[in-house]
Amino acid sequence: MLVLEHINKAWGEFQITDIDLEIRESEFFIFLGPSGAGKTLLLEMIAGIHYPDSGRILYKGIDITHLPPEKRKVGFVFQDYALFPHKRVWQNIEFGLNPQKIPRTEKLKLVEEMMNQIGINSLAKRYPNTLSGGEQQRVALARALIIKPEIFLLDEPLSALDHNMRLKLREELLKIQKKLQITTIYVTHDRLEAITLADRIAIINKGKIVQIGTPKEIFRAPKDEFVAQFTGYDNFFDGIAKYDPQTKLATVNCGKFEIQVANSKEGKVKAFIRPEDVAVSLTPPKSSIRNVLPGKIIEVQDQGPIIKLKVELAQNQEMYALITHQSFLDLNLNLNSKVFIAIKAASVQIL
Amino acid sequence: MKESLWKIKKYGAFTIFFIVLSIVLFILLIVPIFNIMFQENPIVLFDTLFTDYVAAAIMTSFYCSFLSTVLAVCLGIPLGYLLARYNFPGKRIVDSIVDLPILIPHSVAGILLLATYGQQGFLGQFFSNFGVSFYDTPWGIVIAMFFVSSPFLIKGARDAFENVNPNVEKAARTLGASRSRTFLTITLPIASRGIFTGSILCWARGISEFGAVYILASTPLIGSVLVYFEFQGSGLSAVRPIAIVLILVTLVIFVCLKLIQGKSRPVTRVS
Repeated sequence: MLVLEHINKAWGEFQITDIDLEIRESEFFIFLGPSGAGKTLLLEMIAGIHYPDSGRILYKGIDITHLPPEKRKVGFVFQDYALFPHKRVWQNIEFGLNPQKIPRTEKLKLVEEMMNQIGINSLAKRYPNTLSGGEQQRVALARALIIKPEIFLLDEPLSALDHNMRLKLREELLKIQKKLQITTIYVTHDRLEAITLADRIAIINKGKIVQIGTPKEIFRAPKDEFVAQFTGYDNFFDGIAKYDPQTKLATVNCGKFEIQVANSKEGKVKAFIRPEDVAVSLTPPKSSIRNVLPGKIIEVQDQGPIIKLKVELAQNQEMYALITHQSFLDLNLNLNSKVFIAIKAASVQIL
Repeated sequence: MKESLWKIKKYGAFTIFFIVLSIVLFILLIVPIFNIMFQENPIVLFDTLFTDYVAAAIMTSFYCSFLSTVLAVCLGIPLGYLLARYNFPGKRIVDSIVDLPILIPHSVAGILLLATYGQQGFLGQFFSNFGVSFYDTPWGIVIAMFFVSSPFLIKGARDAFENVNPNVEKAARTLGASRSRTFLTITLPIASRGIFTGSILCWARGISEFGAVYILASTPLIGSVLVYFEFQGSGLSAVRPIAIVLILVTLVIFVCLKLIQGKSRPVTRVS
């Protein structure tokens, strides 16, 4: 439905290079990448705030590359909300209706309905600077949605909010998107947000698309080292792989230890393992698990409900593992505890 | 949060030292003003205010400065916006030129203006084709005031526009507003407070101008020129009531404007 064709754009020292992308009708599409990757610039080009140096943007087959933003019917939600500080909440929401020729009573009815839908009726007469962050972002959503946008663009809309509000609004946002079936492009650097919201994700780094796919494809089959690290494969090792056709497993020699992986690659490889796929126990687990390695805990990071352990397997060979707070207590773990880590052969990604 | 200065005991030597220096500064500023105030009888001041030629000069000051401020608003808002929003080659040069009228001595500014707008100046000759003369006319006063005071407006407008979150303008565009509609309904109202402050400064600076006005258009008399002529002709004691009246009237209007400005709802940048 929305097609980006070979989009290039220079922006100061920064460069967006050859973006090629198709976004489908009603899809929740996410640009995921580190800050400074060019996600916002790309989103603003889709909105018409900036024009690409070369390439085309097609909407339903029509070239809209140089159409000004006011003619595109895109709803845009900003990280800093960007509410009009001199207008009351209802006036903020009404603003998008003003260029349209709608009778005043009809307009007010639409504003009222929108405020009901987003749950901000009680704020109607307030000024934005008297609202909390969550309230401001709700107003921003209502303001963008009232024009019944063809495409809904959100630029890190939740990142300025506190944790609880973020979770709450994330859920509401998803509900609204599914209910309205509105094509949505959402920019974030938060991979959890991307997993929970996206139908498809484009990983963006240094102005280029690195990988496009469903959350499962991206998070379980990263295409390169950058994607792997950015999507949470905290453990990575260089090694030499050797395939054994009988077990249908490859053995990767990482120097001081070996791991078996469900892969047929051979030669020089990089092995990636997510910390949540690393199990920790005091005795070697009695199961079919392929990789069991002894080690010593050298760092404990308390992350609240979960605990991240850094386990030293050999000198300068460390493995991160995530365990729940409860099992950390049950196992009576501590710094310098001797432990075993266990990794399934299928959990290891090879690149 | 600013701390209350009344609970002085809480503060150490550092804060007290700064307070003392601030008081010294304040005395240096305020003593000359109060000193002259107490040297005159209020009745004499009252009479002076309603003397025809004094009232006329004050009115001319205010009116010409008002016109020059209007001119500065019309021309300064677009420049202020360009300076706030765009980078262009020579931007720093433009910035310095805006500062120039503040930097050069005002007598020099008067000479420059006389050479350009006077009867022999090329703009003076050009405008004389339309029957407009600047030498010793209200237009000359307006141009002289404009030259020395417009930087205050331009810089005020630039700062005000810089404080408008660009995302707010982008949001308005995506909501269907054209560039000019966005400027008129979003950017300008948000920046209006800062621009108003700039206008007050611009207007006040115009009223206080002497050098440039004196050289280009010493008549009709404005307040500052009247004070100078009276001093030259009749000495300090004769000029004193006029000076005091000029201070008081300006002060009253300035305070009123500040109050109006304070009452308008503060618009803070949402960020």
